[in-house]
Amino acid sequence: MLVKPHRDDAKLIVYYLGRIMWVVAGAALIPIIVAIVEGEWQPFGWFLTMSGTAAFLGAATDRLKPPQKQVMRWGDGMVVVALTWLVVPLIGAIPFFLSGHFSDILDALFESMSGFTATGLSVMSDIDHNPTSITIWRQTTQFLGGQGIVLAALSVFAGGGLLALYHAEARDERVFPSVRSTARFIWLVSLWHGVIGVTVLWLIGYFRLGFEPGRALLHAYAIFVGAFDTGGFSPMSTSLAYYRSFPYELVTMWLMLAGTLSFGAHYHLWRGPRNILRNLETKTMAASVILGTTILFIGLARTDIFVDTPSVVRRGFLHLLSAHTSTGFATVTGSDLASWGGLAFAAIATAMALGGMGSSTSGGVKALRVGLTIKVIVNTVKETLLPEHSVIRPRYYQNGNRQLSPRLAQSVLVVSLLFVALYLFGTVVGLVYGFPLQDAMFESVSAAGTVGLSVGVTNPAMPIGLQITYLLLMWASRLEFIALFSLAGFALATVIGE
Amino acid sequence: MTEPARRRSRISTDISGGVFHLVAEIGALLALLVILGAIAWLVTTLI
Repeated sequence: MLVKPHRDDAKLIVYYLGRIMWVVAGAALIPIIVAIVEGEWQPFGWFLTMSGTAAFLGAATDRLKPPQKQVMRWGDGMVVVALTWLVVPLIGAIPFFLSGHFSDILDALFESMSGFTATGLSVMSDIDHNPTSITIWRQTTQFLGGQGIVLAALSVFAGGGLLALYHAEARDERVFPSVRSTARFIWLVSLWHGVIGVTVLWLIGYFRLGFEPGRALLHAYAIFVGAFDTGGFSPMSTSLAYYRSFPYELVTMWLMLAGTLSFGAHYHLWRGPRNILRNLETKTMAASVILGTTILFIGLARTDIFVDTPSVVRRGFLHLLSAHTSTGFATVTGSDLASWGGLAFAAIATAMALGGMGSSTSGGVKALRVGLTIKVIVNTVKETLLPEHSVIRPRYYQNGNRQLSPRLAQSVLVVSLLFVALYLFGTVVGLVYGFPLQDAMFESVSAAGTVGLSVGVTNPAMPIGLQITYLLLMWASRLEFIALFSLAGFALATVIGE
Repeated sequence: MTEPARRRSRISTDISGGVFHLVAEIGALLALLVILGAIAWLVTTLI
């Protein structure tokens, strides 16, 4: 029997949603300041509208403040996060819609959802001629989404139930005793990479590419955010190909790699013990990157598209890394990517499906789950080969020796299977709309793995049904299902619960 | 240790940790590039 949620639970959920609205209202100050500096008065009005809407919603929910002793339950935390990832993209879509770069509100919402989920698929027309403040906001959605909107709220507001919110946002690692201090360490790591990354990209942009200082800074910020938050939005429609610069690509590769590291791995690199090479997650990630890139190289070598070894390494590794870290940057067009042939195509699609490390900004199944799934398979085979009464106690190393319990194995397999189901669902919808199997599968994995590489299926003229499907795939994937199921359960209990 | 001394020590740990962190990440990227370069050379030579 489902129990109808108490009125206080609903009030608590709305109250926390309101807190998060204040974060959105505050984040809007970034494009507002840029609009003032650049004298873009029309966009200034669009961002003021967005900020005002978010602030109004935040203020309207202030009076629902729960009593001090009321602590948020896990289920309620999940519902808050699931709703946050629907409401925030909706508010964030306001300036996109008003900008006139989208034909309807669905296109604007798609772009916003793609940004906040750090996917990078785009339906924006005329990207190259955006006002600077719109470009900054488009990039900042990835920063907010990648860092975690809820995490941002945790850094600012204190209160009960923070742990529930933290875990609900698909982060299962805490490197400090309190969630707040963990959140602050995550910001420290991001700030450190931001300062170094933006400075180096600015230097390359200014001295090597001949950009003006302001333009070099805009591109440096945009590419840093796109790479470190594994979003993949670029200020130019040609993505990284626009720069035609190996040093720029090299720095971007470093940032993508850093962005895909779990924050636990960042912590161990930063504060020690520095033995992350022993971790199952690190080993799995390294093995799949090397194996995937080798397969991609073989595929490229068979097509004769790139004649020399440096070109194969430069193009092949960048795209494999971009796919594996779920970033989505590219140096070739979608149609060129499609012409790379079946083997190279399959390597990229598989990398997108596997994704990066857990508790990072990347999507996909995630390296630790992949490693554990392989361990479960190996142990199952062992069990069938060994004598009947043999007992196997599977173990793995991940920041210490751990046992692979049946409960953990089940949870890993369930989430991995749900990801596969998501990839297949999107593929089937693509096929229904008449796209070839290869294109439908690639684009579906790209959306559901929150990657953003495209072979051209995603465009301003794409079918509405497919667009809504990809939108839902991005949302479900970012939440890693559990928060989604909690929301569905909450809605069902509200309707039929007793 | 007094509070200002503790803070200075923490900042110093943070800076050295941050530098090590950076070197480790860039080192890992360069190591990957070398390994993959060798593989790419082998693949393009053999196929």
